Amino acid sequence: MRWSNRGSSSVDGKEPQLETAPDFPSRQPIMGVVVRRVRDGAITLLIVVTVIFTLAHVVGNPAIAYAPIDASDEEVALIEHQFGLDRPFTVRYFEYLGDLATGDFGESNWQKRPALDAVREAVPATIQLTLAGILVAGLFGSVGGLLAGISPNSLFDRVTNFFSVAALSVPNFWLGLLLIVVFAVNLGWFPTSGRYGWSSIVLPAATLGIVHGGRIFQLVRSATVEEISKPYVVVARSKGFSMPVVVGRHVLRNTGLTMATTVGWEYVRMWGGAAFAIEYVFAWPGIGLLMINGANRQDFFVLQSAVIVAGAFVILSNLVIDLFYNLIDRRINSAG
Amino acid sequence: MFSFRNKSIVKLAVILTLSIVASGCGSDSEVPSAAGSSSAAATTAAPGTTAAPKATAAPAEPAEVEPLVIAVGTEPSTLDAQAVNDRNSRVFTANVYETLLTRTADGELVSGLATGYEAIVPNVAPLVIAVGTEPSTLDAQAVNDRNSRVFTANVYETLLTRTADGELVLGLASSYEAFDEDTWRFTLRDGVSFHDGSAFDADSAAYSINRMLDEDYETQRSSYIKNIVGAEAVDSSTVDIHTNGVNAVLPMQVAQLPMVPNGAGAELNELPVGTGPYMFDSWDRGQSITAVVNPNYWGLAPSIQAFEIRVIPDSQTQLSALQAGEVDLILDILPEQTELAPAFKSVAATEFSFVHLDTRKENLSDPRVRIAMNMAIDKELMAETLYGGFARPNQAQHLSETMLGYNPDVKMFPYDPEGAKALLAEAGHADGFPLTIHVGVGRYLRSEESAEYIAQALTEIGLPTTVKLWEWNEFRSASRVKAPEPEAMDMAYKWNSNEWFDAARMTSFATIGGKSNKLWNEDVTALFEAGAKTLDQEERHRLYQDAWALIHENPHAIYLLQQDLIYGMSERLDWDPRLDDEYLISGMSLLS
Amino acid sequence: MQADVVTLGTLGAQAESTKSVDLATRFHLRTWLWLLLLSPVVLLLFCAVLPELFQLHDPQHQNLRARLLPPWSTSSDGFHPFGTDSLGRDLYSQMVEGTRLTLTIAVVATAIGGTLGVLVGLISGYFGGWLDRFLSRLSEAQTAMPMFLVAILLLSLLGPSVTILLIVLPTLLWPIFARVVRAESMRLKESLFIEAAIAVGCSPMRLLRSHMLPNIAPRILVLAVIEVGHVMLAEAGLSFLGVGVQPPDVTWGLLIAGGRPLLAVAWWLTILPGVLLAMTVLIFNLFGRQFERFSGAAG
Repeated sequence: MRWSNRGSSSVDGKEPQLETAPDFPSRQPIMGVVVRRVRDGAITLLIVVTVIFTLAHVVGNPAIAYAPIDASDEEVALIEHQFGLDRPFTVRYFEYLGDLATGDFGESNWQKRPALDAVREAVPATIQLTLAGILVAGLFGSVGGLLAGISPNSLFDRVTNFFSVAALSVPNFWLGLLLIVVFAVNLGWFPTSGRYGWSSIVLPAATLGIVHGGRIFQLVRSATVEEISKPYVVVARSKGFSMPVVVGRHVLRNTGLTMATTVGWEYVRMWGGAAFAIEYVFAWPGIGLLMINGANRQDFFVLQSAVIVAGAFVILSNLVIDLFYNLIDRRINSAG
Repeated sequence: MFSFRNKSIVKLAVILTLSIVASGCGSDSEVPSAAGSSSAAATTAAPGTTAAPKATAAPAEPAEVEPLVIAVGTEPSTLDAQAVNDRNSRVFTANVYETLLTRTADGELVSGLATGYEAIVPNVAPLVIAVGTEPSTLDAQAVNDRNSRVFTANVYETLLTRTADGELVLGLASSYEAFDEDTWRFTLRDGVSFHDGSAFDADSAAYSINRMLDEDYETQRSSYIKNIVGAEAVDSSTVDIHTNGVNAVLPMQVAQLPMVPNGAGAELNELPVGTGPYMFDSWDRGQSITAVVNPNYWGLAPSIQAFEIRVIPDSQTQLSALQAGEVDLILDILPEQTELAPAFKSVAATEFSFVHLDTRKENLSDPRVRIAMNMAIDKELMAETLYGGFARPNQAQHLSETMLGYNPDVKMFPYDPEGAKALLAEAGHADGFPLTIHVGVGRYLRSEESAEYIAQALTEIGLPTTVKLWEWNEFRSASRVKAPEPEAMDMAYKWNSNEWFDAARMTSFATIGGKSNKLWNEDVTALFEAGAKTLDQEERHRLYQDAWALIHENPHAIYLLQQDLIYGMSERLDWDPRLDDEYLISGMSLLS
Repeated sequence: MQADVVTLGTLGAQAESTKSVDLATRFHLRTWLWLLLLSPVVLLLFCAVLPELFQLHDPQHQNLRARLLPPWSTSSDGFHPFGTDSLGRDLYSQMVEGTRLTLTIAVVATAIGGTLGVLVGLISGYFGGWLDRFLSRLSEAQTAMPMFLVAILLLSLLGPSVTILLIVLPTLLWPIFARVVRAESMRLKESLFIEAAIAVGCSPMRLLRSHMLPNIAPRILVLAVIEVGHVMLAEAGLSFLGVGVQPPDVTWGLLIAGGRPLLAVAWWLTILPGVLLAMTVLIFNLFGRQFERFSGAAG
């Protein structure tokens, strides 16, 4: 089954709390899997690019963005001709693909330089933020979920479970603002925005970490609960092994895969939108902030470049995680 | 026994006698000599004696070594070189004392007792100014928004410039005159060079002006090149600027035409080169732009060695950065936040807010309607509440009292909602009609709230008004669309700055054909044009006053307030804000 | 023949319904929890339908002299439990006002996206084959895209408006429904009573509509309840960024955005609407989970 519970599918980067376990991959030669996944990824990227092109050129009209707003229809038509926008759709489409392949993503009207440059400069910042965020989320979510899962319905479990649901109910941008008010404005412990030194990553990473950590917590917890109800755990406990020992030796290994892939998918989900909202709140100079500024200035080429680069990154990450999952799962199954 | 001792004593007696006789001859030269005496004197000096060497030299060669004699009028009071500086003393002390560095005969500073030296600049953090929007380009000729000018005004210069009080003075020009009817002649300052080493001369001055005039060149400073036809270099330090007929305001325009190197092009967008006191250092996109002091600057060296323009889009974040000591100056602090800033200053500058009305719109064509709209607004309330007192109603002229063209008889329209309703009814609009007020977001302080308030105030007199928000750049171009175009705006909320301190600054609004004109009044146009054609300042003043009186009867705007510019400052920044919304780092200094 | 089909069908239905008896007992034990969760929702619904009943002032009424009052203040207009904004308008009344649009967008978008997703999922899961592969590829392609960015792109090109939002939000939503429904319908396809119905010649349409759908319904409902909350968060996020709902419409997300410039001097403008939003989403989440347990959908 290919539709496992992964991917950055949901509306705001979050998924329903339905606790389904991940599927097992089919037993096929590894090379075949790699090739297939890469091919799928490439097709997906093509779809992304096509969708953007269609949206922009059919639904909107980039010429309008470049013409002054009081331009007459003739002036707009002139600009259209200048940009070659009055040629047939298919011609433009293939030319567009060719441009992309050669790295020509258009020129930013706002920054007066190639749009791809602006995007390229912004990528490291986003990577830094998302990595920091997933570190926090992964840590709290996995550890918390594991601890809660091994003692279900205990006080610890109920309390942390509730908080994790609360954590993924809050709007992430609002949480960021709240943290700014408390920790930066009133307590002055951290800078309120920007990317200047080590202390400026704390609040943005914490915001991402809390919200995504809640989700990871849920999944890890449910996987753990399922695991400890398995016969071998019951047997081990009845033999007198204490819970920490059982966990350390067996449960961890089996849920470890779930934890790792959950963290991976959640990371991809951040790229689906959550990280960009946080960038806006904290003025973190990544792709999201670039995109929002570009949207405000109707700079189409920057928007397009940002979406394509982010999309490519998401597709690539999905691919990597899929393959990783595949590999590890093989090992477990062949070793088990 | 007697033979040895007796022989010694006799020898000693003879030598002693001879010495006494010899020293008696050389008694006039007892001044100690720093320089070495002749080797003959040195070797013949008797060991163990303290007799001055020249004693032995004198009898050897008296004619050759006559010492140098310098006559002085007054005897030095002291030979302590550190104490005195008069010539009579220095004649002596300069030869006896030395300094770490000394000068050659040509005045060149060279090593003396020191073999080398270097300036160790104390590690003071550069000045940091926060802006809300990153400049899109660093080409000073292309942009005119404050966020860009904060940087470019320190790197580029103009032929004429303004003092902090707004007075027009010489800049890169050393003199200027109205050469003839359509030419102004500027003589350029010598010895000025651009940051890239090229010389600033008439060729670069002419090039700079012609570049801005070029049709293909996109610039936000278009209102400053009106009626300028071209520039040409007369010789290497003289440039003529040709105007379209008599242009009385050319000097004011010239103050806003930055000088760029001859032949400069699009590279200025990212690598600005000017003549100013600061040079471009680096541009970290999305983050900051830095500059360092220009060591070859022709003018007074500024005290601040380096500055940084930091991009912080959110005003709240700007304030926090200020509080944390990360920035020194924020340009738009909210009135409520002034208490939270380490320091703040405000200046009643040249900013006038108003709502631009399109007089050709059918419902707005009757002047009484527009006067009624003016009367519906409680400007005092706006100034007091929305702006916390950092504003005051303006006298319906886009001018303050000290500006040329200000008419003291033109006063703000009173706040009188009942009178407004009556006036509307009189104009035949007792039932009112709907309106939309347009506002560009993020540029002016409290623009959205002001628009909301105005909408409500107008609704209360029977003109239901809705607010439409625009992105700032879109708004700029959209607001220039005029009736009878369907997209023409009824009302657009704007501020206008009058950094010329002169009514002529409003030409674009007042004259038919002006980019921002929505008045379409021929008499006013004629008066404004006349004002630009005469060089007699008194006459200009009268002409513009008449124009404003006319506009008052047929207003093209709802006049609002004269807005203060409020700044949040760090404690170490010493600066008095200018009236013209320019930020010259050379006028700032850091305490401690 | 027909009678047999009906009997078989009812047998299957009975098999499902015996479960409900047990559930009824469970229901009584959890009544308190349900009331706790339901009452705020009902309250919000009332606010959405009859805001005037709950508002203390006209949300648009300005009072410049009562600007930026902190919560629990009184002005010349009266009491302001949540304070006032930059124009002196009562925040509490604005929040009540915003309930309508916030809930409407969330519910309608979920309904549209859910319907679309369910349809796709049913077709995919039941028919399988190339159709399934194509649809699943499409869904995967979409999940691989940074949809939020695409939404921003789309909204900034087309101009933000409620209508556009109601097109964009469902597109972010349908893969979730489609995936779940597909899995469920594939599972159900194997079940006995479905096989029996097919054997008897039941048409696919009737099968999907009368047999599979009712059994999947609880799961869909649970998902829908939870997704309403997520859509609310997404709309708030888009409005906050300026590409969602535009003034003068009011939603909670817009209120949060509006308070942001004054965060240092008037924290309540940003924080309180966010608290309301967070609490609402939390309630929907908890509601959904309870419902899930109640209907045994997880089983």
